[in-house]
Amino acid sequence: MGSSGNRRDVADGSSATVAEDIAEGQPAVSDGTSLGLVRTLCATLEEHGILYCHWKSNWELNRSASGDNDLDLLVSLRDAHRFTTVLGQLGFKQARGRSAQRFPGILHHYGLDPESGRLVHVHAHHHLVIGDDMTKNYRVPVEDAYLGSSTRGPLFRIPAPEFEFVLFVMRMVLKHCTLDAALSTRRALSRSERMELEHLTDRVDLGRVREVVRAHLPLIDQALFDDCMRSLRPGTAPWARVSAAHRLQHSLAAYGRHPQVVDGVLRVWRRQSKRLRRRLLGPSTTNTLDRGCVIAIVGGDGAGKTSAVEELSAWLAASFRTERVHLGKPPRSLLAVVVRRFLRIGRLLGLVSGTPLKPTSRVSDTRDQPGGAWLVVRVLRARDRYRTYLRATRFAARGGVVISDRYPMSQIRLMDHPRGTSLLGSQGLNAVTRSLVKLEQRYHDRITSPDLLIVLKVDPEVALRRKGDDEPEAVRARSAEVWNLEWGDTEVYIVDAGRSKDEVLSEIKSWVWPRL
Amino acid sequence: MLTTDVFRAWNRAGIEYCLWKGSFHLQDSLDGRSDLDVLVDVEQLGDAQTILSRFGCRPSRVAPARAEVGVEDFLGIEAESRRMVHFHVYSRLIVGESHLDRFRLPWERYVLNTRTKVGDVYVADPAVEVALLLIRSSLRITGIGRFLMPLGLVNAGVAEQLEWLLDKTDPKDVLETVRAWLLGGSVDRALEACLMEGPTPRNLAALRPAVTVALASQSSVSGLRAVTRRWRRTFAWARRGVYRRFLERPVLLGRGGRAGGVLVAVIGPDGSGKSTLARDLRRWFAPKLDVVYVYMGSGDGPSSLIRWPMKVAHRTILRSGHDGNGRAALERRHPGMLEAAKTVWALALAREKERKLRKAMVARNRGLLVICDRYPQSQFPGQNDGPFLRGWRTSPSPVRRYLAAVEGRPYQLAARFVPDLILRLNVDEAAASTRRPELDPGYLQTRNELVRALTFDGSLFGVVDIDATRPYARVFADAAEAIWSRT
Repeated sequence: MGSSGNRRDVADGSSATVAEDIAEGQPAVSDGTSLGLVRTLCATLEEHGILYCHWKSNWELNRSASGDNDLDLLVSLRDAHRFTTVLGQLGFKQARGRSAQRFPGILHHYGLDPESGRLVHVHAHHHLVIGDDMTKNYRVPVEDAYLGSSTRGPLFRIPAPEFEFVLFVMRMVLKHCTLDAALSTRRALSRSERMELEHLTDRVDLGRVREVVRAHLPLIDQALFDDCMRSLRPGTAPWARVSAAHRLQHSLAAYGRHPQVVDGVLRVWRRQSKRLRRRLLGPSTTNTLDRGCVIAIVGGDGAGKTSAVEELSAWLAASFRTERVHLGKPPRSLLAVVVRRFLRIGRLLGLVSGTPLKPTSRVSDTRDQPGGAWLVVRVLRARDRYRTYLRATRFAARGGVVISDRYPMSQIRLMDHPRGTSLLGSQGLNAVTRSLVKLEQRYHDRITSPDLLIVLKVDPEVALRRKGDDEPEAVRARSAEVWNLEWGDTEVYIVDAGRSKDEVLSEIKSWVWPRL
Repeated sequence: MLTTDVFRAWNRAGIEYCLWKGSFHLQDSLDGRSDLDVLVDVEQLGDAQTILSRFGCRPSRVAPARAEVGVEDFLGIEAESRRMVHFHVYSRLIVGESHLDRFRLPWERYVLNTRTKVGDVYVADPAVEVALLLIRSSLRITGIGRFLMPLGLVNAGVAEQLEWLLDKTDPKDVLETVRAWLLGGSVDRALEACLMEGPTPRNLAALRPAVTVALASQSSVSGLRAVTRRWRRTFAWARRGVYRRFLERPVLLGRGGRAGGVLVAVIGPDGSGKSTLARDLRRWFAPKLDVVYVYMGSGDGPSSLIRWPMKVAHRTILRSGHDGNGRAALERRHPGMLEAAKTVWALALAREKERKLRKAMVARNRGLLVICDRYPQSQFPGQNDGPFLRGWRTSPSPVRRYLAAVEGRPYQLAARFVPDLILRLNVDEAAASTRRPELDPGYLQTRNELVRALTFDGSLFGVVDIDATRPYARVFADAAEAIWSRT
């Protein structure tokens, strides 16, 4: 969750700022860095009298305010519905994680800050749920007292440091001191966690900390809490840390969703499955927006399709399950690779003809008819395109976002179009050629329109300047086709791609977000 | 009416929506007797949800085994009929076999563009609805489904719906629609057979392969993965049914409150109708939300196996002897026996309460709605679900002190885990005497005062006092509303 994003580079010089903030004892927020959406959200919550606070990682409020970190907001259960309504009005969308990562009382919302184009991630906690990241097994029912202790800061409401400290100690012990953590690389606190501990330790009065534990956490005796605090200090014996964590889990048993043993097994299982998944499939976010979507970006050469796809994909992939596909040049299947090899050998031996069908060819002229090898390659390309499309739609049907570079559209005939179909009207085609042409057409017919279609229009002359290395005639023809195209009833968003990359991207993001 | 109010508000806000299935049952759906399946334009989903919230409709948290991509569940209460209204808000058209809607139909725009208005509500064009109905019905004819359909266990009422819809449209329009969706080919032929000869299992079974092939690219899972997922979901569905009917377990397999679980305690003096109300509340919420009912008292409610023989013995003793005064007779003959029996009873009851309390906590932490009939309290020992052996805590006997400590554990636990919401049923002495004439009026008055004096510091939503002398329907309505507005 939020803690995973807490790491901070020394090189960025931000530690000095933090040190100054700590020295002043003030939460680290300056208006210069905060996003407009975050400011509006905080102001709206205050305006509606919604009881909330930024409940953890308050030493790095700057990062939350600037969207670098998630916003971990504890919101009173009494105000849960009003809070959701406010988020909805501000354009936030609810996301959901993998089934194993959906914890009761915690909701994920994402909103777009229009000025910066950044996505703001709000973790709305209606219950204070703590524990290992894999299970978050314990709900500590001190939400009211926690919220009651909060005061309004420059931007967020923040809890009393004593409450934050108590929860921090418990969170860290459950995260780093359990037996499975001690046997793994998770036994040590990360640098940012150590800094947060130092920051909180400097700010709290230990007498008041004990008072909070005594008054609000009756299941935890004072000696145990002292042991928990000690176990976070460097140099504490491993067995003492494991013992403290074990006793803490035992004391919190009544707050748990699962018994201690089941929790232990679950977190080891989930962590190992996650590790295996990452190794096999690579790192990826697991959140989805609850409804999948295929976004296609089409346009002539030099319109900036690939850059737009890359940027859009990077923007969304940071938060949601996203996949990028290229339906113009789909990855070759094994069949395509093997057949192409054979065709190449055949051409070298003069057994098959690879003459392509030129765009300007007159199909009635038998001399202009393409070679069999060219047609087979076209069919294989269409098949690969369909396979890629299949993978994309299935991914979208599972809730993911697919961004496609180019997309076969009936209106665009010079790119990603079944070119062999123009032969169907000609005389003298043999049965094999005819069936290959029809097969290519059939693959394309199965590809339905994308959910969102973005057309990047750029003046053919500008395209020519951008694509100076390519064949000028082809670039001009393709750009001119998209430039002059009338889309009629097709739902499409046309973007003037002649402007700067940032302007184009900003426009695309603002258009895409409400439609996801 | 809540449903029509929502639809009117959507119409005013210019939200593009339509009921994409079940227009045959439109009136039933509007009355809250069946669910509403509404397709909403994805761009206006946020506005549609805001309007739903304004009318008190709450999004629910759906268990992973039932969640589908592109659908959100909203529940609301119809004020007049006290029915729970269920909106399935679709942003994507999804269909599939039972328990697994794995196909997405990419025709949302077409369905919305061709919608028609019936009264205040937009519904799908009849030709579109027929096409969707037949596609949906054919997908449910999997292996065994063909044999279950004549028994009415699969696709019940499809023929009736089809006949009703075909009165409003021409079969040719249905075929045109299917062609417009680029299905055509074998789907066309199989669909024609269904339209002409009726949706028989044979015709639907013939349509199924054509549909699955045509929609292959729109499937979220396929092959063995689809089969295993469907069986896993079917198993979860069966498990939920068993848990709901016979074996209550604190596991979220259906729906829960979006913001997490809520623990509700129903308390009140004798004759206030606690148990009836708690059981009815469970029955009312259970079809839509996962509910756990916990009886925390020591009376006629469900008890543990250990305590059950004691209850039987207790009843037998009370009825025995002259004039049914067996207890007094026993006390005279064996003065120590009754105290020993009381100790065993108190310890067994304490153990049972601790187990039930832990179950209630786990259920709440897992996101379920927990309804407790009574709640242990330690403010008034010996009475009204309080500890029996409290007096032994200062006894010189270490054994007695130990037993008192053991018995006191669940009561301490209950004091720490205060319910989120307490429904206190208040009755005056006269009403209580009328309802429980066998009890002494003085005793009833004491119990009444005692319940009123109970405090629940730290409760999230606090105590809601309900006047239980009013007609039961109003008491129930107030209790249901109190819970619903906080779930």
